[in-house]
Amino acid sequence: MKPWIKPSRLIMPLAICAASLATNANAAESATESLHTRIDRVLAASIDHPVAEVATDAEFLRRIWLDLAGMPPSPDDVKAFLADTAPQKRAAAVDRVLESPHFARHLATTLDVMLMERRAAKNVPDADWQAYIFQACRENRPLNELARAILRADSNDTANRPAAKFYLDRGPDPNLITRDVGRVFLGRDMQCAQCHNHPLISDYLQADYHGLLAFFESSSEQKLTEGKTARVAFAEQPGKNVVFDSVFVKNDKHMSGPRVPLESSVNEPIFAAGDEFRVRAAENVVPVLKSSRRALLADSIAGGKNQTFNENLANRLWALMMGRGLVYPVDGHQPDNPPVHPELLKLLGTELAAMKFDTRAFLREIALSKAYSRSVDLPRIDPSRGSEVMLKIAESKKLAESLHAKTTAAKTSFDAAVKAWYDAETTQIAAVAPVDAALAKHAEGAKASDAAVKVLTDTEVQLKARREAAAAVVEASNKAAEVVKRLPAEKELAAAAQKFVDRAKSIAPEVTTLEKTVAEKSTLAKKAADALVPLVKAVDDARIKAAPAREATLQKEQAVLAARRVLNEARVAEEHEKRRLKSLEAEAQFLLAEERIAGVKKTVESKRAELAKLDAEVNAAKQRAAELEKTTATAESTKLAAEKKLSETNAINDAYDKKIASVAKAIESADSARQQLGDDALVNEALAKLKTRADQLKLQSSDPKAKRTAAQADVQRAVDALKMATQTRDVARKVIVDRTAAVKKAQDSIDADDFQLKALAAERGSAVETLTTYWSNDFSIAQLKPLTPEQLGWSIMKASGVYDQYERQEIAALEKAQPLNDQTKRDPAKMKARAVELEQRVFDKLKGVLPTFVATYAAGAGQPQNDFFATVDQALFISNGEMVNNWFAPSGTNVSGRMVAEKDLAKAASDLYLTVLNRPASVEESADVTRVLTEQSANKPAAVQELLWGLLTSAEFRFNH
Amino acid sequence: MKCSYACQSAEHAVARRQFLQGVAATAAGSVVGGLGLFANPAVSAALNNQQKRVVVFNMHGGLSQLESWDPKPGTDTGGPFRAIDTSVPGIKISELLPNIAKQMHHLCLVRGVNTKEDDHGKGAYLMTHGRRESPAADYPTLGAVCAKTLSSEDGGLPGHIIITPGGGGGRGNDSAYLGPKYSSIYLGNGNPPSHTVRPGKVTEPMDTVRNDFRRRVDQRFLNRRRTAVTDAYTYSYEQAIQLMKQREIFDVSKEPEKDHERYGKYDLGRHCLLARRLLEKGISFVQVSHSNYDTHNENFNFHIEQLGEFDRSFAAFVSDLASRGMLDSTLIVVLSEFGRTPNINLYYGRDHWSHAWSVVLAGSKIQRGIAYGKTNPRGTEVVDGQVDHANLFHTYLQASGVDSTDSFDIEGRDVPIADPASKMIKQILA
Repeated sequence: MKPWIKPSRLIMPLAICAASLATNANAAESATESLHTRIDRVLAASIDHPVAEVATDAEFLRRIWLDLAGMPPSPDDVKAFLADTAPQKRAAAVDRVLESPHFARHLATTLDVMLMERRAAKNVPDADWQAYIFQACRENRPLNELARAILRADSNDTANRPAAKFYLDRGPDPNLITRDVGRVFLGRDMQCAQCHNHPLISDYLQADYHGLLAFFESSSEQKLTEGKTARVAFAEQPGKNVVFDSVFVKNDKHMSGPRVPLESSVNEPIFAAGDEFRVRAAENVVPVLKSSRRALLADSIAGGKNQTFNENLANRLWALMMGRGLVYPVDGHQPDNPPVHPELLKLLGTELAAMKFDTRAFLREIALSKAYSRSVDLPRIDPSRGSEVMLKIAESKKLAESLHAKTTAAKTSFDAAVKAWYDAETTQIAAVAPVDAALAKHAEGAKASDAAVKVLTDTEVQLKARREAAAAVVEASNKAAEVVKRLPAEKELAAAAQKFVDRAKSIAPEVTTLEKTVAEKSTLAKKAADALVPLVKAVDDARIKAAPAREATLQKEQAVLAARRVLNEARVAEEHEKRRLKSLEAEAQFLLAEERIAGVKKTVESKRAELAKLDAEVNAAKQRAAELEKTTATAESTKLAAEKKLSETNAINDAYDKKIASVAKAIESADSARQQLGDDALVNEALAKLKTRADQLKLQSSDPKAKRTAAQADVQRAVDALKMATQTRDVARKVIVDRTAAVKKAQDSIDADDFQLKALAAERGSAVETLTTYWSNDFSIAQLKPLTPEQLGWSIMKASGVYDQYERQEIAALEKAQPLNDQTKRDPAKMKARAVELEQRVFDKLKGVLPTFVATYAAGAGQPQNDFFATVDQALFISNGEMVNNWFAPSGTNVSGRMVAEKDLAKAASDLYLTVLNRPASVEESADVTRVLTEQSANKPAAVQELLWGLLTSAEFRFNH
Repeated sequence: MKCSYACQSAEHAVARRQFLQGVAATAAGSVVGGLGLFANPAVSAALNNQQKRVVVFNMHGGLSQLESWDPKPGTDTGGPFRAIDTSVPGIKISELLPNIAKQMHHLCLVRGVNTKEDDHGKGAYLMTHGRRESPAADYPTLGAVCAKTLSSEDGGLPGHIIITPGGGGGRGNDSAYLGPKYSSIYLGNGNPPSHTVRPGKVTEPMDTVRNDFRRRVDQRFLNRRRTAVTDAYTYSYEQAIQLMKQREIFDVSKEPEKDHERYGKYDLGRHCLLARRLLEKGISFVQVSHSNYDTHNENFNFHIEQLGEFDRSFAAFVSDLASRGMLDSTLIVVLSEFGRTPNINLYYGRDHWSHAWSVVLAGSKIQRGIAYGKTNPRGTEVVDGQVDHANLFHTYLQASGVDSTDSFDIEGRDVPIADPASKMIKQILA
């Protein structure tokens, strides 16, 4: 996939709704049950997984203010609400906000953006339009009535003139109007079905597009001047059938009269040719038809009975509160993209109509539902759900398959019905041709007749003028004659009188001539009118002839509608199940990740115990080895000592041996001498002495010998002992090596597990993200709702204190102009009117900055306005823009001013959080603020301003949660 | 937790880092080799391999093809100017463009343009959108399409810049369904984007303090709930910081004086030099406008004056891109909303004429030094190689390596990038 091609938006899941089909049984009970209870009941039946906890009081208060008043609460509101212990305080707060003048303002802005999508004003000034919408919101005018006024608007009806903006500022171009009526009022963006059936959305038929187009095709812009001002009306002529063909299929002509998508053709009264007008078009006169197609459309769509319209509005109001429609995108209603809870949308659409489109009451019910007050946090999920989820997945897969079979069968029937319809249409196109020809002829005749009438009228006007002139001349002539009679001497008068007489004579034939001309023209006009009679009849005749073909097509159309209903129900069921399956799979994915993490953690735990044991063994072995080393060393030194002793005894023995040997040698020599000398006394004596010495020596050497033997034995023992000690020590050493290797192995294994844990944590993270998306999309946890450009503007003005500053000024001005007396104070109506006036005054003072926020934060003009985006120029605007940064500067009573004055830094932190995020600061947050202020104590005013900036630019502030 | 959309992906970050290291290494290597003077082209060449860019010169009001790319001297429609030889034998252009004539070997003249639309607004729309204006559908401009398809997503720099002849600033409304992220950022008369300078009283250390505080506050909230949307939001502030750091990119005064001299010391000269600077810094799409060619009166005097400016600046621009090795990756387009009538009116003017006029392309995969398409001797109709806005739009994208027959996925809806009923001009693509 190329990086710049966005992955398809995930189709979001929902839980089964079949379980909520309890409607019939509970119908009677439902009637007395409030809508918000029913919303929660239907949701509880539809959602089969845990839902988020209830949002905190602070979150709830901020939420309803932003959603219903378009701005956050004041810190004082927050404090009072948090301190309130009344059990019904949330409902009471909702009512307070709905009663506040900000509600009408916010609703008006929302409707303006929804209807006009920030298109530049073209024919209807924004101020007129916005005042019109605002008035409607202030009066809580039923939403369908407003829609009706917009859909029929031609700008001729003075009470609803600005309502024509929807048409007039879209060109007025019939195709653009068709697209946007489809999107805004029916929730269906059928743009791609203009030239062929929608390639991706099988329920957006080209025939639907052109059926809708037929309501506008005969309307066009008419310029009017009223005195010096010019304006434009959306004038309607009698409509025709729209003929179209697909660019994909050759020779595939179709025809459509006015028809609302998913409905039968409108039953349009047919008037004789030329008899269609109540008021005929003329210069500066907007035509009025006896039967206006746009009026038919308005009644058909917005009359309260069109479930497509009702559900579209209910979905848009739901999206306003919940941050996302049950159908998303809000102009993507179609069976392959069913509502996340189909039963709920049905209920809401029906109930909105039953409540007579009372927007305020309807929004109140949503605000009181449990679904509305859920927090943004993913709930705890019991790991034991795993097996249940796996079971459900298996069931769901099976169910999806059987539903698919149903859809396929329904599609076959539908295709057959469509084919029959198209065939009937082909016949009708041929049958209708003579009607069109007759109409064209009649139009020609009518044109001639109109021309003749105009000539006649013009001549009559001339005649009338001439008659009046003649009468005046005669009268003047008579008067002049009287004058001449009274003043006979004055010749000039007589001459003048004669002139009158002459002229009176000459003018009479002129009148006669004109009378003749009038008579002639009258005849001609009558002739032309008479000539029309057969033409009118020809049209009637052609129509009568064509009627059966038309009837046949209408019948086939009914069959198509019936087949389509069956098909769409099957599709909704199938797609709905597919989504549910995806949601279940996301949950399974999450549970699996959790389970695997738990498993690995458990293994790691036992491995760690094992490791500890090994460690202990290594230590013990080391200790033992250390002892054995000592023993070995001792044996070594014992051996050395024994060896030393042995060598000493050896030396002594050697000395004796030498002495003994030398004495023995001397004896031998003496013996030999005696043999030669004979018995020589001296020799004998010497020999005897030598022998004695030899004996002596022998005796003397016996002890050292014994010692030597002992020493030898000692050495042998020491060697043996050493050998033993060395062996034992070596065994101990080996134990250490082995155990250390085991420890390393165990550690490596634990490291591998830790690594795996990290990977699993990432897996779990993405599972959490997916699951959060699915569950927030099915409203079991709250959506993060990006602030609209206007909400952001007001929020920044509120948080920075700009709003309050202007409000104080206006309160003072109001007090000066109309001082409050006790009587007024006791009159709730008067106090309410005063609040309304105050809001208007502050709004007028500050509305000038909104275009800056719109230019920076809103999507392009004419583009859908509900998608979030963040661009670098927005960040630069709030980082460096002089206007907003000036607002943040400490001044008197704004939050940065209060923080500068506050010596207790924790109190300053608390004020900051209550003012900007409308909640108390946590201990950590308070410490953070305190630390920054302590570090920046030298330039506290600047620091305070930047802390304010830091909170205003935080994600928490940017999103209503 | 990681979000899996492209702009935050680790792969992107890595690729970007490697790329930057590569650039640094190449540049340093050149210096070591005693080729410091060529370090600049080396950087540009490194950029070339990575990213394609597009620059559009919008000749506002309707440039006369007869006084520029398709002269017809010696005919009753030709006007007073001669045709001169260019660096490509056989191709002649008006003598009002002597410097550009020397750059002809880089250019591709498309002389058979027929857009059948003589209204300023509608003509401008179809030339910049590649489609005829239709009330029920709004399409993104070439700039927005380029920003989406050619830009890397991780920098702080915008991908779509329009240098306006006058003042003004802010974000344009020209990206339709692609979303405001790809809308143009206006540089009013060549000035940097709005709000890129810290307000006087916010010191740099304090800016750090406030951004650090913001990050800590965000971290606490994002621990509760983090989504692609919150990431996009927090990321926009980091982008803003990046952009402010790189603000010099928009400061054309940092370019050498001799280049200012060469490009011409007038608005268009400055804007062309700025365009060169922006493209070198890696911005994907830049549009420069030259106003105003709507010469119903005194066509010839006006063209002498206007084209005198354009000839000098544009020739310097083309020559620089070529010598810096950027032409292989940068598509240059010179367009108008239409051309001007062969017929010369009573006021020595020429009126609106969309039936036979010229557009000039250069760079990227466009063939160099050719003239494609032909008008008849009086210049009143196309006799060969007729193309229109939609063919050109396909060609711009194909030349830049984008498959123009592909579709954008908009909320699960396939929207063809360019008019699917039309196709590129294969003959001029290399």
